[in-house]
Amino acid sequence: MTEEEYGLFKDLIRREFGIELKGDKRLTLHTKLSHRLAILDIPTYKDYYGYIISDPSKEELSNFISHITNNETYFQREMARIAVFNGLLGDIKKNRQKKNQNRVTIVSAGCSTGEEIYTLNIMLMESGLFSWGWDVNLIGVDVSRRALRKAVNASYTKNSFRTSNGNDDFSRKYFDLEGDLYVLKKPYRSNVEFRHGNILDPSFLEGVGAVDAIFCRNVFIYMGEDAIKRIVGNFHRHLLEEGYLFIGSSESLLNKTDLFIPEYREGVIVYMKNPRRSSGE
Amino acid sequence: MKEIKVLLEDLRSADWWVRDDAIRGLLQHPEERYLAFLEEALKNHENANLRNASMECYVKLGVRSFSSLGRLILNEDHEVRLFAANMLGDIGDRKASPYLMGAMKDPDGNVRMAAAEALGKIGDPEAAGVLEASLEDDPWVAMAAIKALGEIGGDGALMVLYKCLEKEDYRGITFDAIERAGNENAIRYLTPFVDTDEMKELALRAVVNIADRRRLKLRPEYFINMVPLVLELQHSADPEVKKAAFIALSWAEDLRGLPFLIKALDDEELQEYALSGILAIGERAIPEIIEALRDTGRPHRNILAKLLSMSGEYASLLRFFDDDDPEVRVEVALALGKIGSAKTAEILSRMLDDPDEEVRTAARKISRTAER
Repeated sequence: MTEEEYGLFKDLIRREFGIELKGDKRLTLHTKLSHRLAILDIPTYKDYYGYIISDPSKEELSNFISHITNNETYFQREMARIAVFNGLLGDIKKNRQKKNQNRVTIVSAGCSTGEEIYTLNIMLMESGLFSWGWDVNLIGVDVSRRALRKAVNASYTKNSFRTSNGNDDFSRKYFDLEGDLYVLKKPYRSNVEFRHGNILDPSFLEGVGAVDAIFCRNVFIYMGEDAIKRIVGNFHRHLLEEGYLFIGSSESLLNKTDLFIPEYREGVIVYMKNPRRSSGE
Repeated sequence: MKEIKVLLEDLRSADWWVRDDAIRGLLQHPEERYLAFLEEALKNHENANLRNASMECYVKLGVRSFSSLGRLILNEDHEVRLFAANMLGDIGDRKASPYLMGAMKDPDGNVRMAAAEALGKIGDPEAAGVLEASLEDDPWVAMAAIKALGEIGGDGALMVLYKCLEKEDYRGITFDAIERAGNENAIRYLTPFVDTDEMKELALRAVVNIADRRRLKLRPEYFINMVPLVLELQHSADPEVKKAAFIALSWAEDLRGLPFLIKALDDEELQEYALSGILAIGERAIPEIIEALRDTGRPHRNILAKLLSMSGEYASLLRFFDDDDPEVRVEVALALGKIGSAKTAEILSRMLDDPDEEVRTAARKISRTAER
């Protein structure tokens, strides 16, 4: 891949997905994409770029990003944050009850292969707070169709249990072992939906209604400031007035937006909607 | 638009958001109407909220506030002079340089230190002479000056920093500064310290980061005596040292580094270096790549399969034709096109019915090519 070709892909990735590629990643891109050129019989990366942008269906763009994105995640990742969320479930329930509503919606934005949203679902179900008469909806959104297929299958290797290597109560209770694969038991998948979508797009949660909490962890670390502002604006619009935003432990929205106010809970920063500010759209 | 009087009152509020709104409001008014208030607020040690809001307002005013800040940096109160130096640095405009260079002679050491830091933030090469003069000052001021020289950069600053390498007490901070400002020439000055110095890992970090920033890949011969150090630093508690040592390992083309390179394929930040390092090691790396690919629990196995393909190891790939990972199977399908045998024809035939669409497409393509 030449520098010029790399520049074309770098701009494309920023433009379409907000992701900033840092440094020279030509070899990495070549490793991830060379098979597409072979399969499509396309001789150069410049031609491949032309092929992607000339496709009105955006099918190849979708293939492209599926191969580029890092789909690394695992169950019970950053448990401190998940534990804080668990502690907020009572408040989430009360907020809805005040509005005479019996619906709770949680979104995992950039859900990858589903480990996060399934972890959250297990937690909700185990809390017992929403067992009777509640409409519980968990939605995972990602740009990678390949990752979403894996998420829907809900079959994982021991690599998805980084904290325990698949050898603990969590995996034994919620998964069936089939060969080398851990398959999530059906009751813990039933109210989880996966959507192909781009969180830069204001309509990425169209039809979902107001959301109680959004998890968007280890996504912003790949993004430029403009993209983060757009995404945060989208989240602000979709969250309930009392909605919560959780981002990754190595990420921060301080000095990036005033749409959310950080609150410190048990050593973790949780972001609440700022009632003084509007997302403007 | 709120009145200035109301906005100035809001600056006293205990609510951060109210103060923030007040600052935004004030900026829309001519500054001469409230600068005197801000000056007094800065001297108010009783109300930290008001003082901080005043400082924030000054910084947002930028050069519009210089007439006031120029007075404050000469104020009788050393704390006010310190605040003024900090704010001039945060504003970042070179027009502040004369005020700050003057402050390098302030009787108070904290003010001189703040002035040095501010000159670093502003980045004016004209300040190099004043900063060099302060290297004989109090150590805190000298260290701030070294750091500032690193931020300013350029040949003038670098020549001063190379002289600082002779000062053992300041060597660590000088490595940092040269790392920040250095060009290819700086590597020559740093190299003797990589072999010998107590802080050799910081010297190594500086060398590697300068080379990496300049897109220079140091030759393997550079590291010939350093591989044991570089391997040891793979366990460094300092993440920046660890990363630089890893980059050095990827350039060293030494087989002892291979386990670390393969592991780093899972790290987005290090992947490019890992790929480059593994490919440079060449066919000596193949057995370990195959071994790693056999571990079905590891992530990014498709990259390992791709490395085998890129290395021409098509026959080695065939054993993975029924791998659980469709991305590995795609590489196998494409490899089949490079080998012609009865066995490959049989595998190809099975892949035409693979459950994954991309595998089927790859197999169809190879099949069509074979028919031709």
